[in-house]
Amino acid sequence: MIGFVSPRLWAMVQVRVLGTNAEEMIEAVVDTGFSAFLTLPFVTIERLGLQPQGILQVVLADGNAIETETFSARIELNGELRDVYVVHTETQPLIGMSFLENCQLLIEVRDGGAVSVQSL
Amino acid sequence: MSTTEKPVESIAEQAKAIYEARIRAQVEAEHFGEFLALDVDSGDWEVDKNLLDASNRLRARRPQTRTFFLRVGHVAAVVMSGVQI
Repeated sequence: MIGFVSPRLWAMVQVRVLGTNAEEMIEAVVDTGFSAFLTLPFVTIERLGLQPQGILQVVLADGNAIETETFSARIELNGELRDVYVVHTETQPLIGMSFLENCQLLIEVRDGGAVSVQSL
Repeated sequence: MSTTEKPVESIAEQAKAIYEARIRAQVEAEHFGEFLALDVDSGDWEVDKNLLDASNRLRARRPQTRTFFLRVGHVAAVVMSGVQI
């Protein structure tokens, strides 16, 4: 998986996400402080037709915990499809450390720099 | 959402109370770090290192489940830094 660093120094990658209604390439920010797989806003969750799984809590950087809903989805990583849970947040989509497990992440941290995610 | 459905906040409170009272002692030693799917109406639960596997097994037994996910030995199922919700 290849991406790029934005002018605001976010490491961006494109993730193929498959739901029951549709599949899309989603642009996501790589967030190594995020423990799970992927966050998506509700408009995208609904459009893809992701199936609700239940409620969970997310602990934020300030120590506060918020409740949100989680959904199931398939994602493609380096040619393989995986079933993962998606966390609903109304933010730019994020990918986290569960997504990156067993991968090497390389980021050239400069505007236009390369981002690569390769299986170990 | 129907008027008889409980708000999200009380699902979390209910689930944590059930977990503390009836489940935690059974799972903490052997399942630290794993995800626990808890049906807040019945108290039924499943635990697995894969959240979706726990969810699917619980849903197979409880098709109408209202599920809350905890992570054994952790404050919450997911950690997120610096993201405004």
